[in-house]
Amino acid sequence: MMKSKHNILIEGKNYEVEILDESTLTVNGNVFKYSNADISKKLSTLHLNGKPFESIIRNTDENNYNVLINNKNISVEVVDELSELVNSFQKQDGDRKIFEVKAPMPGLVSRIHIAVGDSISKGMKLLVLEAMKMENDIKSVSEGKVKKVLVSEKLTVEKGQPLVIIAQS
Amino acid sequence: MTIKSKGDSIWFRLFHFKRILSPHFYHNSKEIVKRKIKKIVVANRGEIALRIMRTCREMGIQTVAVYSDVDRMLPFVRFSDKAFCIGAPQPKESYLDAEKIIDVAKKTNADAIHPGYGFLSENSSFAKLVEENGIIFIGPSSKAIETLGDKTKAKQLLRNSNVPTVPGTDEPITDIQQAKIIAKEISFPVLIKAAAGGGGKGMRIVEREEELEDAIRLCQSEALNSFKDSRVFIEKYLQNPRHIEIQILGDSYGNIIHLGERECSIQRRHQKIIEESPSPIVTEELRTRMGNAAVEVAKLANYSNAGTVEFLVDEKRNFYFLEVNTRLQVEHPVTELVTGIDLVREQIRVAEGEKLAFTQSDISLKGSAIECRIYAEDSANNFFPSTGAINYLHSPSGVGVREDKGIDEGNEISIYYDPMIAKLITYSDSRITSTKRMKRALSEYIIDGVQTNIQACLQIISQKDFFDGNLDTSFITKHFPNGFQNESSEEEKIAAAVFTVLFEKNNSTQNKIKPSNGTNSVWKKKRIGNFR
Repeated sequence: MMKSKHNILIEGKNYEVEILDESTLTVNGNVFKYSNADISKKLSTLHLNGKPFESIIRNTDENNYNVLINNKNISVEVVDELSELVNSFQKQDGDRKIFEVKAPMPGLVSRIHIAVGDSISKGMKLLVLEAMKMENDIKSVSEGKVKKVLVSEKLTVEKGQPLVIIAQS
Repeated sequence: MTIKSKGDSIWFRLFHFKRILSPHFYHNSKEIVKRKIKKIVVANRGEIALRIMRTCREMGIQTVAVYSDVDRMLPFVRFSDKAFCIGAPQPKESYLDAEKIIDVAKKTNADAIHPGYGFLSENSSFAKLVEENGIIFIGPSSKAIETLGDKTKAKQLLRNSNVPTVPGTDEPITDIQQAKIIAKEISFPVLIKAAAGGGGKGMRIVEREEELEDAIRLCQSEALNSFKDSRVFIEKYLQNPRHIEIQILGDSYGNIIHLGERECSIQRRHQKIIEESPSPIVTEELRTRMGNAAVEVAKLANYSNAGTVEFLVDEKRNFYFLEVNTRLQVEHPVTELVTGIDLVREQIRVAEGEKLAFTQSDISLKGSAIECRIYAEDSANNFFPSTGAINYLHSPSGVGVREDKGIDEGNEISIYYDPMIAKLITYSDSRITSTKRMKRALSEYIIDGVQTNIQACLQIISQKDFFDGNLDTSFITKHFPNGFQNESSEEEKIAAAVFTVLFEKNNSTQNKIKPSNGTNSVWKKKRIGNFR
């Protein structure tokens, strides 16, 4: 399993969850042993340091969930890296528009044509995404400047995963 | 007459004939006809309809459900032997439509109608209509309902009895000077109450004599505006009383007994949420006195079947008659558990013309039972009803737990009716164990889709004053002045964060698998076969 960090916002407080392996994770740096029974069922069970929790998770909005634990509803927002970056860039760049380029499907990043700071035009090829033995050019939908490249060559990406951030000039 | 009424049937005549032969059927020269009930129309919905049908099935009695459009999928409809949709969800189109319900009873040849609680259960004209159609109304006579249903009439009935009523006037106030004398006599604080009032409207608490005149005038004009009836009464105001009620049971032969009390002081918005039997403050001596008073009320009204006499009890354990509920109560299960008596079964038996199976000396309260009403409501937001589909429902079980539930997973809590999901009742040999058992059982619930008051119930029964039995009707405002908070603990929030991450990971893994079906033609066209 790949290491991954996730930022979860609950009542204004950030919980950084990092999955270290199949039985270890950290929340805001604190290490937890975990195991989870089938999370795909309506009622999911999770053991955190041996303590069982039962929960029903419902997706209420794209990045928002309602998590029912002990008959209390907890509103959860998933803060992905992209929205964090977009937020930080928006602060720097004021009114300038920030564009995100997302992976249209899961695949492998086979080539990257651009680098941070490059000026790009609309329709310019940014990178190549290989999936199901097909090569696909990922093009820019706008002119602007590359603010950040979020992926590297030979990296597998999931559908909807942000690839490049572009700031309109 | 197009539809044959019961009174014309051969069976009726046969019973009539038998009655003449058997002197056993006479009582004080009053005619009592015994009639076996074989089929009952349950004129109600939800948990109470199901609860009644369960006893019917045990007794070998067929049941007929009547239901509104939106209730088609509810458990009580499935449980019945026959079910009829009688109209739109608005109560007046269905559950309050007497004609439609009686029609179903005739159509199905039912012997009796059980009204449950709410809806038509305390409507004397409905009871009368049922009686007139030769159908047994499972409850008191229409006359008894009429007498006891009217608060003024009920109080008049008790004027020359030993039943204590809240000190005050029987006649409307016309003269301010007279009112001042009365108020001083019964001592402040007093309550000015509109004759036609209800739901807290047209009521005013007066602490001092100087405030009395203004209060009466204000109350009169408020009453005139709200109810087109300016009559107001003056009554002793009981500060934070307890609400304690006595279950009564009577037959058609004038036998009336009481089944002890229920403590119902924990209320929100004037609605009970937690009830128990016995009451932590009622001694055997007080039980006998209150019980006797309740039986006296019932006798004065020629009461038969099950009923409840409600009292207010002050800090000095003085009790005052409040009103009679001429029906089965929501909270009847706590009495069933401590007495071991199935109240619905007894209701049906006495409605058949049977004598009570017990005398007063047979009745004793054993152990302790507590009930929590589980509502779909937002306790953190002024108990606002929470409607929607029940997405997931797991009920508590185990030793000493009874759950009377009217809905299942997948059913809806609609806007049309009371948003009660279930009644959870725990029973044990002591109040302490029943309370602990209730905590345990409440924590077993998992209900998703609507907000519930489960956390609020847990918080209430965890109060020291609840444990000590220090209850009164202001309990919730006193202990939860800022309402209930459904705060999650840090541990729960961490779990929620981890759940979400695992859930998202799981979903994205599933998404990854989907395109492997190779159905996306756009990508197929771009296939670059010569590369490999």
